This record gives sequence, structure tokens and C-alpha cells, in this order.
Amino acid sequence: MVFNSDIFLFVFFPIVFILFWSLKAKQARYVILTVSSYVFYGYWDWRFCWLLFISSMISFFTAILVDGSPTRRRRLTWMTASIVIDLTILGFFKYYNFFISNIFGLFTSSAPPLLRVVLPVGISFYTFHTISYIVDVTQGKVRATRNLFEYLTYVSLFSQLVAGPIVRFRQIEEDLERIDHPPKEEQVAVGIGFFVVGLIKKCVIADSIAKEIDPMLAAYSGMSVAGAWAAALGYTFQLYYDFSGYSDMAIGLGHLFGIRIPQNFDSPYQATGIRDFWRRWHISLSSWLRDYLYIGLGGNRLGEVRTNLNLMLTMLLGGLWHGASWTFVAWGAYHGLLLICDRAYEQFWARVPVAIRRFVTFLLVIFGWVLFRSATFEMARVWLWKMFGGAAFSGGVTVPLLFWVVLCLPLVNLLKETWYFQFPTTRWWAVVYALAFFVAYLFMNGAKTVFLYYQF
Amino acid sequence: MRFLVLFTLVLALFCVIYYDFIQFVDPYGEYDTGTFPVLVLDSRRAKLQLLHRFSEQGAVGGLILGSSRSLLMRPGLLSGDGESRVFNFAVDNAHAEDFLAIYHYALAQGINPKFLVIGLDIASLHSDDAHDHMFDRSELKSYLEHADDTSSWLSIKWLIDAKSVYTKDYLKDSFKAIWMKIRHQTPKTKFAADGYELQYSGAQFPLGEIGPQHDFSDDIKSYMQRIAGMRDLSPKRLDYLRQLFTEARQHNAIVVVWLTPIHPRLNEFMIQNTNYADLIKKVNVEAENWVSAYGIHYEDYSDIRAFGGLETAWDDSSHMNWRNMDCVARALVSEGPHGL
Repeated sequence: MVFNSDIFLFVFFPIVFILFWSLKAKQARYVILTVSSYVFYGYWDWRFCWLLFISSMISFFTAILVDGSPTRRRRLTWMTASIVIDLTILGFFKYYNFFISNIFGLFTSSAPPLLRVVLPVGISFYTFHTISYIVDVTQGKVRATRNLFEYLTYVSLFSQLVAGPIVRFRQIEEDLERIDHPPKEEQVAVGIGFFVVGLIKKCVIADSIAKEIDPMLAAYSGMSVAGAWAAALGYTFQLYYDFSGYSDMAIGLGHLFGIRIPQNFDSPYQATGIRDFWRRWHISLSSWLRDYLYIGLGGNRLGEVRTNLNLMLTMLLGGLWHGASWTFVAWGAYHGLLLICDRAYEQFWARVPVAIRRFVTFLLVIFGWVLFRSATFEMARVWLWKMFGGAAFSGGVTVPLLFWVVLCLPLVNLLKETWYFQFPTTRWWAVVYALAFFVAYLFMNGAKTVFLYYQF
Repeated sequence: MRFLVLFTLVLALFCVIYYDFIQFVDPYGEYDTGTFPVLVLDSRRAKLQLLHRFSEQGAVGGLILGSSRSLLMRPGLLSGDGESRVFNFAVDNAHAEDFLAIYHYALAQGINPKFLVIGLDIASLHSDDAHDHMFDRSELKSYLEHADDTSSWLSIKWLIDAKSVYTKDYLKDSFKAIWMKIRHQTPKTKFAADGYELQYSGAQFPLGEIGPQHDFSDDIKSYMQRIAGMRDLSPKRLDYLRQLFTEARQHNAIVVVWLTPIHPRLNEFMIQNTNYADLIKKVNVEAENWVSAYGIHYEDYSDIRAFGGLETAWDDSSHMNWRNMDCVARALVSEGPHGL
């Protein structure tokens, strides 16, 4: 099920919302959120609900064992066991065929057979949820909950189950504990505001751009120089509005159920450096990678060479997290390299005027997105080659794409992130939100699109 | 919760106002309000009525089926010795389900055509299995046996009908219709009594031309969108075709299928950059089975040289103008089965 579908907007959400607020008890609300989240997930393929359930149960009970372990060694053993199981499940469903066909095949002629494995939607996200929980419990940052349904609610909460943000238990623990509070008028208004802005971003902007660039990229070898740039810029904006739109909707839905989901974007295209970009783009993932991988590897505590190695390794795995493809690995390596350069030339970079820093960062990010979007290295090579003059200069850029690129360029550079909007909560604004929702629906109806980050 | 209640009520109000507005303007001529010109004629709806009238005036000997690419196939050229009355039931964005449903409709009207000439597009077998919006809204859908099992409780017809007007394209076309009324412009499309497309009543469709300077970028985009995501032929739609061939044979009707072309330059682009050639090959492989199993006649006209077509005789790069369409009709008559 996706947020921009009739079944979600007009059937699933109203039923869950009414049931949730009709039930007063904390436990009943956990149960309704858990059950509804499994329905939400199972609507795609109910068989994978078991995977989600097993993964949740393992981390739930392991966390209790960790909490009760008398020695640090035993805590680490339980933690490691849980993480290994989580990563094995993720690895099998997401990377088995990739490793078999790419790596195993290099060293031996008798590689194991490829399997017809379906990638369960959202597995990368909920695996990171469970890992962050078990690590936090081991490190004593959070106490293991004994309430199974509270934990199941945390892992499976439908608003962020399939495409994030990657929420840590401690970030929403307080709200989960107070889930039995009565609804607040202001909270509902802010929730609707977030959701509607997200819907506009996704259905009006991102999908309209996708409609223009997808045909171009399906035939990338025919693009002109202008077309290659327009497609690169278009995808840059599409990805941002698609994913930040999803995040806004997730945050809005959280508000509607009294759960404050953390910020995931902070005007990333206004970044003045690559490190700054990663503090603004998919914040929940980059901070997860920083806290649970980069720092775990030693962070910047082990000297210059080791720091750079840790950065590169973190970004390589971050790239691989997005999908089992060498282009994602290369995209991760590219950003790893940029981060190393960012560190090395920090003092020089600080003296460069802000406008130039922003412009250069934006360009570097765009080149990265070309790799990210390309299905093969050949596609990335041709696309980049065309951007640098390897084709006829003009032609192939449609007027609507030009319109969206020209519109989005100032929007991403000047507008504040939705997170900082002070959503008015007076009743007259219900009219504005309703109108915005209605307009978004006119774009959404019949379009049948999914969010880009669902594939990860 | 007052905010949410107010939000919901206002949203409902917008829906009602919008629906009334659409009914009043009626850009597709679905509500017969007649206040504004019909901007985009619903070819399915119009031709259902036309065929009914056409059949009242005499026996219908043949049916032309196909997409908008077949709208300009002249029925008179397929009438053989001139005794057969042929009706052009090509409709916009036709898929295999349209062909089957139209045939069922014809049989239900007591029409038993001696032949069916089907202009098959690659996209008529699109693997997305999504019906055209107008097909869902038309009476035709009820003539599709074993119609979509996707119908959940949400697929109540009135709900689908009502929901389908809430699109940006519908709103845009409503404003276009108002603009046409203000500018005293005439509707773009009209059909003759035999279903042939005429731009203006009684006048010949003007001759479109594609010259060497033609910019193909919009054509490429629109055609790429048309076959977007099509990796294979739809098994469901192939079944519809097989069902049609079986039923036609039971009713002793000759079936001629011709694969429609796109402009050679668009064709070249598609073959170089997409799996278009592969899709054509798959249709041809299927067609071999159709010929042997159902006795139909098949012509691969995806290359215009196969029927002596001209590179310039196109309205746009997906639609041939009447000159090329006349070539197709003549080629089918000369190469097709006896009786056409």
C-alpha cells in the first residue's frame, strides 16, 4: 500500500484513525497500530509479514536478554547474534544474487545457483530499526521494553515502515509511552499540514518531472547536451521532492497518531559542502551510518588514514544499502571520496565564497545522482559524456521539463524545509489544506506511481 | 478533532463543486449538457451510437477495429464489390479488450460481420493491463466477458465513474472547452455515419505532413510514455485476442490483423534505444500461432515499405494520414483473404 493511493487515503487511514482514537487504553492503541501496520505491509505481499514479525521478535527478545545480562561480554554476544541474524535475512533477500553473480563467480566456476528472490519492501529500513534498537539497548542508551506491542508498533509503524525515516526507539519512546493521551487539535492540524505538503511534493512536482524524464532516460543514448543536463537536473529535483515528500507525509501521519517522527531533510541543495550535504540529506540514514557504522569502525579517533578508510567504507556500505548494484557502490565510493577531499581541504574550502561553495556542491551532487539513477555504468558514462558536450547541443527538452527545472531551481535554493514551517492551526487553514489536498489528488488520481525509495 | 472535521467537510464540498462544474462543462460529451463544445470526443461512446444507427439502415458486412491509428481507415475501400457495408469502430487508445468487447457488442446488436480488420498496435498488448479511462467509463466494459477480477468492492461502477473525473487532465480539458466556446471554435473530432473520422462535418480530414525538419522530441516522449514499462506482451490481453479469434471463427467471420507502423524515424530511434524491436518480434511469433491455430490472416506492416507507404504521409509520427491509410487498406484488399 502506498500513501498516494485511494485505498490508503479513503479506506485504510480513516478506519485506522477512527479506531485508534476510539480506543482509550495504551495497549489497545499499540495493538491497533501494530495490526494496521501489518495490514498495510501485507497488502503488498502478506507472506513477508512473517519476515517482519520474525525480525521484530528476535530483536525484542534479544534486547531483553541483553538488558538482563550481567557482563559486558555477554551483552555483546547477544547483540552480535541478533545483528548477524538481521543482516543475514537482509543479505539473503537483498544481496544473495548480487554476490553470487558478481563476486562468487570471479573466483570459482561452480558458483551456487541464482534464486528467484523477491526483495521485501522496506526490509532495509526495518532491519536498521531493529539493529539500532539492539545496539542502543546494549550501550545502555535505552532500556529494553517489555511490552511486545509497544516494540512491534515501533518497528512496523506504517507511516515509516517501508521508506523511512529510520527512526530510533529512543526518538519516539516518550511518545509511545504517552500514546494513550487524548488528541490535540494543534497536533492534528500540523499533521494534516505536513501530509498535504508531502502529497503536493510527490504528486504535483516529483511525478510531473518523472513523466518527462523517464522516457528520456529510457532512451538515454538519444539525448542532446541540453537534454542530458535537463534530465540530470530533473532527476535531482524529482528525487528530492519524491523522498522528502514521503518523509513529510510520514511525519504528518505520525502527528495524527501523536508520534513525533524526526526530521529527515534540511534543504539539502543549499549545502555548502559535501559533509554539509550529508547533514541535510536523508538525515536519519546518514546519522545512522555515522553512529552505528562509522563510529563503530573507529570514526576519526585512529588517525588520518584510518579516518579516511572509515569514511570510504561507510559510504561504500551506504551505497550498497540502496541496492544490490555496482552503480550504487560506485555512487557510495564517489561520495566517500568527496567526503575525504572535504576533510582534506577544509580550511581552503572555508575561504571560498558561500555562493561558489553552494554551486560547486550542487554540481557534485548532481553528478552523483547521474550514477545513482543509471542502471548500468554504460548508461552513466553516456549520460555524463553527453552532459560534457558529447552530443548535439540542443533538442529533446520538453517544455514541461524546462518549466519544472526553472521552477524548482529557486524553490530548492530559497525555500525552507517543511520541517521548519509554522503550520497555522486556525480553522480557516483547514480550507487551505483541503484545497491543497484536492489539487494534489487531481494530479494523483489514476497516476499509479510509487515512491522512489520503496525500491531500497 | 474539529479541525479534521472541517478539513473533511471542506474537501467534500470541493468535490461536489468540482463534479458539478465538470458536468456543466462536459468536455468529453458524457453528460449531454451541450453548453460547451465537446473538446475530446469519447470515440467509444460516439461509435456505439453510430454503429447502432448504421446497423438499423442495413446489414453490416465488416468491422474495422483498432486504435486512433485506424480512425482514418476508409470503410469504403474495404467494402469489396461495394455491396458490403463496413463500419470503422477504431477508438482512441484501444487495447485488446476493446476489440473483444466491441465484437461482443456487435453480436448483441444482431450484427454478424463477415470480416474483422484489426489494426494492432504494440501498445494494444501493453503488459500493464490497465484499461483506458474511457473504456472503463463506457458501456463496452459490460460486454467484456470475464471482465477484470481486479474488481474489489471499490470497483463499483458508479464510484469509478465519479472518481475518474477527478484528474488534472479532465480539469484542463474543461477549461479548454470553455475557451473554445469563448473563441467560437468547433470541436476537433467528428465521425461520419460509418465511423470514419472527419475533422469537420462533410469535409475531408486535412492532409498532415512530416517533412525532413520535423522535430521528433515530443513524438519520442509521447510514444515512450505509451509503451513505458512494457517489457513483454500481456498474457491477459493475448487471451482476449485468442477469445476474439475463436468466437469470430464460430461465427464464420474472417479476421485480418495488421501490425501498425510508427514513422520510420521514430521507429529507428525506438529500435536503437528500447526493446521495441523485441516486442515486434514477440507479436510476430504470436501471430504465427494465430494464423495456424485460428486461421486468421496477418500482415506485419510495422515497416511502411510492406504496404508502399510514404515517409511524408503522416499526421504525426504515430498516426498516418489518410493517404497512407488508403495504401494500407488497398494492400490489405490485394494481399488479404478473398472476401475482404
